[in-house]
Amino acid sequence: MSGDPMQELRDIEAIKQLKARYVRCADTQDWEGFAQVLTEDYLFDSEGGVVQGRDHVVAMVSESLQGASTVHHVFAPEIAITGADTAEAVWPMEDYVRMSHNGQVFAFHGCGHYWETYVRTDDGWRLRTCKLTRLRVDPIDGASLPHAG
Amino acid sequence: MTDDETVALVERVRALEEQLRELREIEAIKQLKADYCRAFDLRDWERWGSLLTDDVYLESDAGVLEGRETVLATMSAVDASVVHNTHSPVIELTGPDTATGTWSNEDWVRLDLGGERLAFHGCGHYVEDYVRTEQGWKVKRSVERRLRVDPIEGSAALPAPPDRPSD
Repeated sequence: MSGDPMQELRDIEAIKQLKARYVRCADTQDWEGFAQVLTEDYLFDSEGGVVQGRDHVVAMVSESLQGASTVHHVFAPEIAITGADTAEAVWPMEDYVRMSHNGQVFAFHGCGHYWETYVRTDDGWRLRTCKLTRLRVDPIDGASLPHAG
Repeated sequence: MTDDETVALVERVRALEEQLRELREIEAIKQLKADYCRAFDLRDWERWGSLLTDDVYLESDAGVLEGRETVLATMSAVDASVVHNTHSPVIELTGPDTATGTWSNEDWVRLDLGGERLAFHGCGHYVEDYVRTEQGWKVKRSVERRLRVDPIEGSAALPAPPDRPSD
């Protein structure tokens, strides 16, 4: 808990901007910028499984999204400063994804939440863990859904 | 209080004032953008125009428009129903009276271009510059970059524009 209300507001704004950079860099496939918002031991947990380590995540995401089109929107964050250099947040999210895997095209609109933790480093706040849980996933134009069944 | 303590206190107050100023400017620019989108979608051209600099530069997949008068004349002449939802601002103060911002954007648009009807749902980003004038922060430059655009089907007719709520 921060005893300094000014610092708490500044940290909350910084974490909002961090998350905005994360989704913008992912959607514009700016993998250098994407890597900059993550800690080295970053852990990403989604319906695709758990991947740990910034380099692994960047390699996995950049490869799987090659030629893909993604849009991620995040809304209404609940951000809590949990220590001098730690924080956590829940973000409602939606995404529009069009990608192909082994020749099969997937296209969907999904909604859910990101559950995240952050740590303040010498270079500012960084994303340490991110878990994605889904509320719903709808196919677009009858395309297949990934991870079905 | 010793002189050293007084000096430290004054420095602390000055730092807090600067931090508070930054947070207020960021909030003011977020509200500018909210006002800009709402006035545009409600086709309140007088209000929307008041949020632009004289030399405003707007760029989108439809082309480039420069200067408030040109922008207003062009936009107000189009028969359209539009919704712009913006998310995830990254506002950076670049000087005492200048700032930049990026926003995630999503829009739903119906246009009637001389009998040709278009209806689509688009997603992308705005990359923008702002300046503070005597009347507050204004949009100086806005560049839209699209991530995707999907047609909206079954739009045989343009809907009637909504009544504007009275202020």
